[in-house]
Amino acid sequence: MSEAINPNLTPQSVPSPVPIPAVVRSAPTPLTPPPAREGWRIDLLKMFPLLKWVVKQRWFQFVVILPNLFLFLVFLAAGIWGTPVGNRNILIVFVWIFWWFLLISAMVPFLSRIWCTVCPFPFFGEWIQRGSLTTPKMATPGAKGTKIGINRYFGLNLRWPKALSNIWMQNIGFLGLCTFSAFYLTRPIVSVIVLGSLIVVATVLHVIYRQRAFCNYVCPVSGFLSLYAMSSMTEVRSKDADVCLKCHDKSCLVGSERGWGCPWFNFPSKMERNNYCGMCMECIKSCPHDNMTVNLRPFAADTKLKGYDEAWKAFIMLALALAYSVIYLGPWAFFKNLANYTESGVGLPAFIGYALALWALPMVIIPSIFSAFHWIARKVAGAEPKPWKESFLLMAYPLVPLGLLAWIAFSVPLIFINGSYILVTMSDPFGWGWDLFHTAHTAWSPVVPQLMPTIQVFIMALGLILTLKSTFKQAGKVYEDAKAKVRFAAPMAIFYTAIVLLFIQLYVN
Amino acid sequence: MTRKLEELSPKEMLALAISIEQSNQKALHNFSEMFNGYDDQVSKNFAEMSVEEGRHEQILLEKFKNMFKGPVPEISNFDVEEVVEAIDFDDSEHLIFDSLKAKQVYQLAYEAEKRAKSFYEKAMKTVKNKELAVLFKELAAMEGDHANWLENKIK
Repeated sequence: MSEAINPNLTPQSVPSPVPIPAVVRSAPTPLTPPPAREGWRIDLLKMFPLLKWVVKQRWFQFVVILPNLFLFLVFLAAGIWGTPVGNRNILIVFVWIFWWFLLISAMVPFLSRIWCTVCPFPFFGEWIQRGSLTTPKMATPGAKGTKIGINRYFGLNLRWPKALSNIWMQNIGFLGLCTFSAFYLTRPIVSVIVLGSLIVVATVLHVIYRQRAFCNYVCPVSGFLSLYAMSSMTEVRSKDADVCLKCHDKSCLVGSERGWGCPWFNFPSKMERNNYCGMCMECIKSCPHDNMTVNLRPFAADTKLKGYDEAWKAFIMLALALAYSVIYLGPWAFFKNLANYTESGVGLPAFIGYALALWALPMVIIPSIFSAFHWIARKVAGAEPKPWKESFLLMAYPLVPLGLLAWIAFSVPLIFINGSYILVTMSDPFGWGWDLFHTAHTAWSPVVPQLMPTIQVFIMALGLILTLKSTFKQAGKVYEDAKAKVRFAAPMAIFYTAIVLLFIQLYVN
Repeated sequence: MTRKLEELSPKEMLALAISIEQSNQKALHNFSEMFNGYDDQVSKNFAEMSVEEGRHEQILLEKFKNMFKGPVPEISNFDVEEVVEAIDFDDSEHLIFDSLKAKQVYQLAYEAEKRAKSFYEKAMKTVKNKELAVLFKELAAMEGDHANWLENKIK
């Protein structure tokens, strides 16, 4: 449904304000340029002018999504018409082994949410919403569509419900998907249903709600990308905060004839963390002052969790890394059978028990243990603590780099052990006996399987170093006093060390 | 090439103050547009602030007509090094989490006016040109009035 756009709202046409009830004055909000960013930054667009030229082109995102969309459709076709044998079907092998490994081990740690740049899920929805594949449309008087900022959009463009303006839906959705992972990791047709549904849901939500509501609040992949992008070594940021302060166009937010307003509802000029930046590069195009760029930065430079939804996402991801390591890498057939109950024949009640345990671990058990350590930490610190929520969120942050490293440790064997399937399915994507690249008959040959535990232990040890460093740094934000800081950090450090030792024990044995 | 504020002539200084009010007016209007249909009260408050900045601009234009002859020189806040008065979000994720409260809009504007006031006061004490010092004093007083108006809105 579209409506005629009213001519630009002029200040004179603004209705008189509704009286504001008397309220107790809150603490003044400091409106100063963002604090100096921690650590070094390298302006990649300055260093590579060709890259800058590419991301500034209107066709940039379309051109990178298109091949990905084509591949995705081929994968879905393989899931429907190809062999039902999982490790012979390109959908299973490329999505759940190759893509997952690339995503968690390379894209997220080094390139933030670059996957969102090329993701095909919102393609059709965004196309309908914008009525354009590349060129931004301006909200000229009388034009059809809904005016948001300077641009105009089609569809209902409803605001996303306030009660759902968080990542709890993504938390629940991801946990739900992971509960049934054994089904879609082994059965191509189930993967088609899962991935196909995501495209359908994304398209429908784009028609109903504003801009990237699906990506921000619903997409289960986006949820963990938002969390782990905090650790990434790449960021989209403003170059000079003063330029943004002086700018009255605010084109990065409201759009311009050069670019759409931030589709992720972010205000790029003030952005201080990666979580909700989908790296679409629209702000780089729309900025009239050439003040947005892509920086290289230290690992784990964003350190602020803003709500319990984000903290629980960290608990969920850590718990699932642990659970998957047990189920898919461990020698215990019992757990595999529980996860894949229809094939193993253990029965539905056993699966329900498994599902309950899988949900209880990140939703209740780990957060309870964390809370207990946090409570002890506050007690032993012996100084006036900050409010519970504030210190809880500060001390939950080390779970971000730790969780990411734990997922990398889990994912490395996937590619080293099962990499040969990639060669096979590349030549024979549907399992129909093709041999496109003469690799269809590659024998299953795990690469250095004997080194896997060593590599995993190394990754987890690196994770421990980063986590402990981060724990003490975060503790310094809770307590200024050096002794209180150490006393506060110590129990949390014990908690994190115990988790890492648990992972190491699991991988070594 | 950007200039320092004290390098401006009184005429340029007043032109800059007019330009800043225009700039803020536009920024606030843009914020209002973004919250239009999202959080209507926040949108209305931004729009109200935008109108108010327009009023400030008119006052300064009158002042300019009284003080100087000829058109207002073209000078913007990008031509000077300092950030005198700028109204902006305090969090880039307000729209994502629907976290901006209506009264916070006044708070943001209040902080900007207060900052501008203290900026002009500081400039008034350091500038050598007496005419400019008088103008800074008047601008500081005006920003103080704006801040008081907003403080009453917040209470």
